[in-house]
Amino acid sequence: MNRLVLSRFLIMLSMVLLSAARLTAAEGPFFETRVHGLLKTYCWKCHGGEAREAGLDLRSLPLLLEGGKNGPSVVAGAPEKSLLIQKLVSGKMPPGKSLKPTAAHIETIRNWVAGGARGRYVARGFNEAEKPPLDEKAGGWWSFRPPVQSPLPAVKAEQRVQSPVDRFVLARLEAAGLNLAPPASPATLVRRAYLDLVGLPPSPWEVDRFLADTRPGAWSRLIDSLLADPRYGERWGRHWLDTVGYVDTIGSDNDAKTIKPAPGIWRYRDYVIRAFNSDKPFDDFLVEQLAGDELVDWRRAESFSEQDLDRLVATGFLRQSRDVTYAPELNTADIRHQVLFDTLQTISAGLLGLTIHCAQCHSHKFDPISQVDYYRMAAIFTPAYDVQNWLNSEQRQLQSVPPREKDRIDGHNKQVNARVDALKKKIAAIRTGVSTRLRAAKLARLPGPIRADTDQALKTAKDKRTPVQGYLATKLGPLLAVSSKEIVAGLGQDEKKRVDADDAAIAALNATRRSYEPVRALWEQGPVPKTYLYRRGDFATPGPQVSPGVPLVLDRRKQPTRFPPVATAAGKPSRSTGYRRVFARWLTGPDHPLTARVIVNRLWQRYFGTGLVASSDNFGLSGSEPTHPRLLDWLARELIDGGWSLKRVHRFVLLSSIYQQSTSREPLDWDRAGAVDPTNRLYWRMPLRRLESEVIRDSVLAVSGQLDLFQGGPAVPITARADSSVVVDSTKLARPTDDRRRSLYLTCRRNYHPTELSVFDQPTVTHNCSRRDRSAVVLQSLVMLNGAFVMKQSRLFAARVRAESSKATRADRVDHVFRLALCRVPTAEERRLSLELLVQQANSKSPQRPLEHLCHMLLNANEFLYTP
Amino acid sequence: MKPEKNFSGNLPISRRQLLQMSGLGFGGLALQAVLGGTVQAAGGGLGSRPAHIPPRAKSVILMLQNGGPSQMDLFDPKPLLRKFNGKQHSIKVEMFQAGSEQNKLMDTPFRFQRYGESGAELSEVIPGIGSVIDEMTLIRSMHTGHNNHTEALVMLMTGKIFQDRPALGAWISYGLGTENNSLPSYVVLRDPAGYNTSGTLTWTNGWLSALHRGTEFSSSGTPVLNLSSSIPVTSREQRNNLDFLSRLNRIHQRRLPREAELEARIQNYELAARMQLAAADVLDISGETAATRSLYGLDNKTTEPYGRRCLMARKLVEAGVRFVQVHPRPFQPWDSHSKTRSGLGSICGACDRPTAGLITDLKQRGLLDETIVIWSGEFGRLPVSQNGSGRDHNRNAFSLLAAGGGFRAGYIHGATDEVGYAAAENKVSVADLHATILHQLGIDHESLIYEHAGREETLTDPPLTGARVVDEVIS
Repeated sequence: MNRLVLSRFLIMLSMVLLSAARLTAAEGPFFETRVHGLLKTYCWKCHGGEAREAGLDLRSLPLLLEGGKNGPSVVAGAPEKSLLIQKLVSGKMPPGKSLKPTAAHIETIRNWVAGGARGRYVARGFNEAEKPPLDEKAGGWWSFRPPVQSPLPAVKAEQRVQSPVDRFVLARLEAAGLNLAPPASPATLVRRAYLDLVGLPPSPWEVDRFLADTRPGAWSRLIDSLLADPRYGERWGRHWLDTVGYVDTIGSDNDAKTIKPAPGIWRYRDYVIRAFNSDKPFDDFLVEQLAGDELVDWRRAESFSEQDLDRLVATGFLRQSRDVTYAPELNTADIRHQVLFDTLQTISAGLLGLTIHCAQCHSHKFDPISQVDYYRMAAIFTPAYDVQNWLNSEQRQLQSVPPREKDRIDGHNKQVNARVDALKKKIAAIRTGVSTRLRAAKLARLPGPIRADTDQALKTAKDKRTPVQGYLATKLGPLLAVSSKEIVAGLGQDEKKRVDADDAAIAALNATRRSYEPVRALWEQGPVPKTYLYRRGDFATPGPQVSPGVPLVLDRRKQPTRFPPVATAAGKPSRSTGYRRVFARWLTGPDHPLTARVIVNRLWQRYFGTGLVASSDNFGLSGSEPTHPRLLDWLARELIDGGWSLKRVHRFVLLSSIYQQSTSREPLDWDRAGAVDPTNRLYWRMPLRRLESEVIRDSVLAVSGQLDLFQGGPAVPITARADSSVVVDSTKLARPTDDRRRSLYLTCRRNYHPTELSVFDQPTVTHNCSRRDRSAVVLQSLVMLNGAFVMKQSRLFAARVRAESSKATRADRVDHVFRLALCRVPTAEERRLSLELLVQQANSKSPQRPLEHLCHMLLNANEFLYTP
Repeated sequence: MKPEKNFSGNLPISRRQLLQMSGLGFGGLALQAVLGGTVQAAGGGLGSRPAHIPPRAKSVILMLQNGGPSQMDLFDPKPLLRKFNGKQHSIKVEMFQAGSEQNKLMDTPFRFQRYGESGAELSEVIPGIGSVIDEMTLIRSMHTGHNNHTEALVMLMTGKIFQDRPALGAWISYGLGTENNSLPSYVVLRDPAGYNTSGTLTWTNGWLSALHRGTEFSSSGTPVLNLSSSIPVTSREQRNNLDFLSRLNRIHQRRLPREAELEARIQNYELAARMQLAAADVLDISGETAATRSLYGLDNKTTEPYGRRCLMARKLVEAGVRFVQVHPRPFQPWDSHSKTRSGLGSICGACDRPTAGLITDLKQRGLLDETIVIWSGEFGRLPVSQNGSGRDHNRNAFSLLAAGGGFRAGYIHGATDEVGYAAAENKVSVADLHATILHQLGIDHESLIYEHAGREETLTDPPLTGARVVDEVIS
């Protein structure tokens, strides 16, 4: 508990009670009846909603009584002594051209003060230490207790145990009288592993290499090589970007035609990819994203190391909420608050697996999260997202160099500008001289009688010319004009030397220019604001002040999380409060009940379609309970105790028999298991999973041989066309093959995704996405069957097959088509059907068409769309 | 394992309706996959429940007039504005953009006159609407929650200002499905020249299945994106391809016979082929008589574009599409921040006749009884002047037209204050409107539930909004 805040609070409280006590007899009007609304209209612009000038906030009665730098604004019962009334009556406030209150309005406020400055709402003796109602059941909820490592269960099917994970799953299956499906074939497994780990199908050669490895441990080696593949970071980084709600744009991004890029946000995307590839410990990863700026003394640094810059970039996590405040009419208190609240929602749903946003307006109905908890958590972020000291979404960015370095670079470039300008002026002077000379020569060639008149006509402003002058100017003006070419040709030897030397000097100066690039970070930029609980979630009705804190039910009982006291001196702080760092350390503590469970559950969900906890963003009382609680805890503990290595957890899952079993069962087994567990929550077979939007597009490009695996950098531009399709903007590509890059590098918008992605459930990004939809709608068939992208890639696919099997038989070609698209050779039946299709589609005019049809249909096959 | 809680109200659902519901027309097993929990929680109350409201209407046409049509210049005459034109208003109005600081009342540049037997007073710029006003309920007391276009549009369409909830049409598709298994249940007809403000947010499925998202039909060129091949393919080639694909998929399916989702996809390819014909057919207006074409203003360059979409809307509901959303012009056509006279004159010139045409045509064909037509913007405008000749946004009052589907004919509901700033009598909220529309379709708004993230979500959220069916506007 912050003592200073407490004492201020008590003072405030006593004032309220005092004034309330004195007023019982007065029975004057209430603050809420009219005064609150009048102050909102006339005063809040500067004192409450969007600013707190002179430290004054006029949103509630206690805040009025507390006052600002100049003391309390109201003395109950004494209008003439009340600063508020003095300022209003004298006309000093509201200042300048602001809307002035009418005399009647001032009188209303005056009467209210005279009547005792009464308020209907009197602080109810709110005490910050007050615990939210924590009933036994809620406090004891499984997900609010730290994960505990349990012993590995004994199972009957020992021969199927390849990873500790198997024991937990087998134990439940056996208890239900069920067993695992047979192992999938190696050809199936290699495709499954590639799609899951790198998001692309293996090439025929990669399949062959795996199938040829008959030494023990081949699977484990394959998994290791894929976890070490740089494409792994792209695949799993994209999953994280879902959790974050990553977009490449600023604002609400509602207009199809207008894309407003968030400068430099791609650095955050690349940071995430690098973090997954290097298996950055997950705790560090979270700490950097929540408080990277507080780990670096960036304000005073002379230069940034790679790590320094990474840490600033990482806070891009906190910059993903819709923030439309760049538009002046939308830069209002309510919208600023929404940015703060949306950010809290992403943090709670994404990292804590809790839906805390209900507590914005009232204590949570299901979970033991009180409204106080909510605003204490908000208080951790208000020094950075200070609603009354706001940076709009365009201004809120740092640079890739420290402020001092930025000043140096700006200073240097300014000097260069000045010197370049001077040189340009010199050149211009020389050129003007030549131009004058050449013009005089041309003038001299005109017949004598009209020479002076023409000159005069041209010197006269166009609209002031007499008709004759106009005629002369139009007719003869062009004859006297001197072109740039003529000037260059007309330079004397000496002049040319001087111009060349100056040009060279300019080029040399320009080469010394230095630059920096924007970083979409979050940091604290001003005095630490006070945070209030908002009654009914409305910023217009601030209640008691709160100080930063974590939700009580999740905190360590014996060692509560403490936030550092803040020096409240006015002016810019030289360092951050450190609130977010404390929060992040708490979040990643070894006994945190949620963080590790939430991330291992997300990982499980990616492999099996559904998490062990089905509601992966809600571990609270209204969410689902885990199907395998001990497995969830075991994985969570392994993550924490194994140094927060996610790759290590991947291996536990991937090496298991659960993961390696077949998606299919014999009909009788299927019926029997389906009767007991129709939704396969016990894993009696591997769930069949449709590929995500990005994997479908990337796979098409990989199969056609067109995929460009270039990593990182600014997003590839896309454009929304009038016919409602969205495509890569081929007119604006930085690299000619950018249109063939992996989908995660295409500009990520809130809506208006490239058509191939949007039909396959690319999520609309309002907050974040915990689980992708996997719909089967007809528009998907239309895109694959008729869309320009797939048809073009089908042609290129066919061309690739021809090129790679130029001397082969037709049947061999068919085999190659299947190996490329489905990573296996066709069955005899499939080969026969394919050959028949090639015959049916024979086309004398374009002999390549039949193979193109076959390739096209393979990309449309159901098998292509699913992880086998 | 929690039981699947989602259901679409107490609707009696036959097996046939169940199949139609998908909008896809495939077998029951596959349907269950798409609507049930396997593919995703998509809804569909598969268990039979007793009926409680007999439906009055089968389909809805929403003429979405975004931008904020000005009530005091179109539907809601305020003589006091003339009397006090240029005087400062005694109440400080809630401004959105700059330009209204003076808070000075502004008279309408238009004359008002009485139309029809009901004698409703409407502006001279909407004689077409005037000619069919006897078929309509005019609600003058609508109000909403936000003064920015996007939030207010999202609220009009989804009930709240937050951008993750399903649109009205998606809820209705979820609750009722379509009656034509070759067409989507929710179709959007926008100006091919561009999107309106907030674009696809106004027909989003939110967290409902993508099945229920509005499908854009274009009124020029190919009606549905990718409905026909981007590279020429003969119908014989197409047939060969589809037959081959189907065989290949059937072979694949042998290993996974109980994966209903695979069956759905196989059927989807056949549906794609059917849709090509059905969509082309329903959108072909060449067979319409000269009289009908003229009714919609297709004989006039100004009214033709919107008229064409209105005519397409009729053909779509005729073909069994559940919800059709029609947009007049791109961006925000009714957003008259300045030059009220010319701005409204222009948009009314393009839209008024087609609007009247649609109502008249539906009536003549006996379709109006079973079709709800709603004409509405996202908010209204202020009684004070902005930039001299315009008006700023106003969430406190706007006017709305509702025709057909059991809405009262020739009736005016509610009133605003003396200058039209705020709804004053018989106020109707967006949630009330939604509840009433659902009611007319036979859906109890409190029972149309979808469970999402641990909450039982409804379109109208009655505990919070106090939504009620507005009995006074229905007959």
